[in-house]
Amino acid sequence: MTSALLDQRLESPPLDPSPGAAANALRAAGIRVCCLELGDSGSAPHSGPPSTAREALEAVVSADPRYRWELTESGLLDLYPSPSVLDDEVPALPAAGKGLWSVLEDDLDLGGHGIELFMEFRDGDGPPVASDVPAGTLRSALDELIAPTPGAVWHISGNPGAFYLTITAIA
Amino acid sequence: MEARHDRQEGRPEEQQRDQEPRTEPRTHDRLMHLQQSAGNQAVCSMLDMLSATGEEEGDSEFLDETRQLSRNGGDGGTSAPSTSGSGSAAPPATAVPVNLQQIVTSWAPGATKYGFQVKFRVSSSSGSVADLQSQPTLKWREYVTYSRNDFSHRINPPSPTILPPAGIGFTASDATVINANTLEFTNARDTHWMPTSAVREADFATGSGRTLPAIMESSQLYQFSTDGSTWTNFAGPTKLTRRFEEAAGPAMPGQTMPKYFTTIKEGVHFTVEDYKP
Repeated sequence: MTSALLDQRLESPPLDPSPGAAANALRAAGIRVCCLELGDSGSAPHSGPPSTAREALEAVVSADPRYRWELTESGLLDLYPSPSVLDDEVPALPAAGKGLWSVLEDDLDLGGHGIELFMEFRDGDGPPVASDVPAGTLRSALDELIAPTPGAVWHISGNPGAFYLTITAIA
Repeated sequence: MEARHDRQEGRPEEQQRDQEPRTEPRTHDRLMHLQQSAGNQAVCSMLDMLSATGEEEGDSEFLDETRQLSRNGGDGGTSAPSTSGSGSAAPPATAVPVNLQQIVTSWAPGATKYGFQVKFRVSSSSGSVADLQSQPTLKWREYVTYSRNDFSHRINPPSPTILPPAGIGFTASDATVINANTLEFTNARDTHWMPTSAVREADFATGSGRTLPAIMESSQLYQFSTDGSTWTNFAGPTKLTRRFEEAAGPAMPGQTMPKYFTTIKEGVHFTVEDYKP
């Protein structure tokens, strides 16, 4: 299963090895990629466009060794720099039944991590969160919150102290 | 001279979501201010965009009846089916949403944001929104693609951005009946905002490698589905342009021309705000 996902061919390969371009291309292929892209990530053109998901991810890491990727147990594919704000420790969150947007802003205290929710389209408090979130890192908490919502991924862009988090569904 | 259109006082968003639309300045007043601050070229550009869909601005609120869509390509949706025709042998068509209206709310960006907010109303292809409300699996969503982003070094939302993940229903828990064929969504809002921390004039100074105007362009499609997997476009695309620029010069010796931030949703609304350092 893991191999099949990573060997998936990309009909629209990313134009450059930036994490944002790779994430968009993999999402277009139906892969649930969650990504943190730093504002200073390069955008030089590919020497040769990647043809598979794995090649696109490796191209990002090769172009900027700060990045790494991980296919999580929940089926999300995380692409992120390390170390980063995603390593911040967060306590257990009693989130079950609450709206996802308020859990992110209030319970997870995104603002305290220098992250602001950037979503133009919103509908109340968002989809209900399925279960409480165990203590862990900010990345594991985001994955826990997003994974139960079919097709949903998180995407963070910006710079330390001024990050912006957008939740989106993959097409 | 300053661009003062739609300058708004900041208030907590939570208190603003469901307020009635505020009174807007008339278009010619806004354009006069824009001309004073930005010059004729900016005014002509604005008029071109506002006239692109043949829309006119009302006295009290700008209300867009977003065009029916007849395209399909790379947007995760298909074209809306035709609902016209009434051949006697044809089975009755299932009601679908039509005539999406975008209405400016009283939301104000305050000191740390630029932009404006709209709420949504919709009608039914059958002539009665009861036919929409009787379909518990009918959902709608917004599909946004970003085609240009000169602010990507500070903010770079994914493209596409599709929200909300599970869509919004048409039933009484999500929408209120305004009249027999108009439904208003209770909590759905499109807040076309931009954080001021992502718009810094130093990023575009001489020698920075970046130049003004700085532009973020996106396109909004509105889609419905009855099964959560197949989505059909029923309104849009609308074009949203954010633009950070400096007023036309020349500046007086020792002075610089003022900068301003414009948010334009074609056929719906626009604001021009002074740069917020």
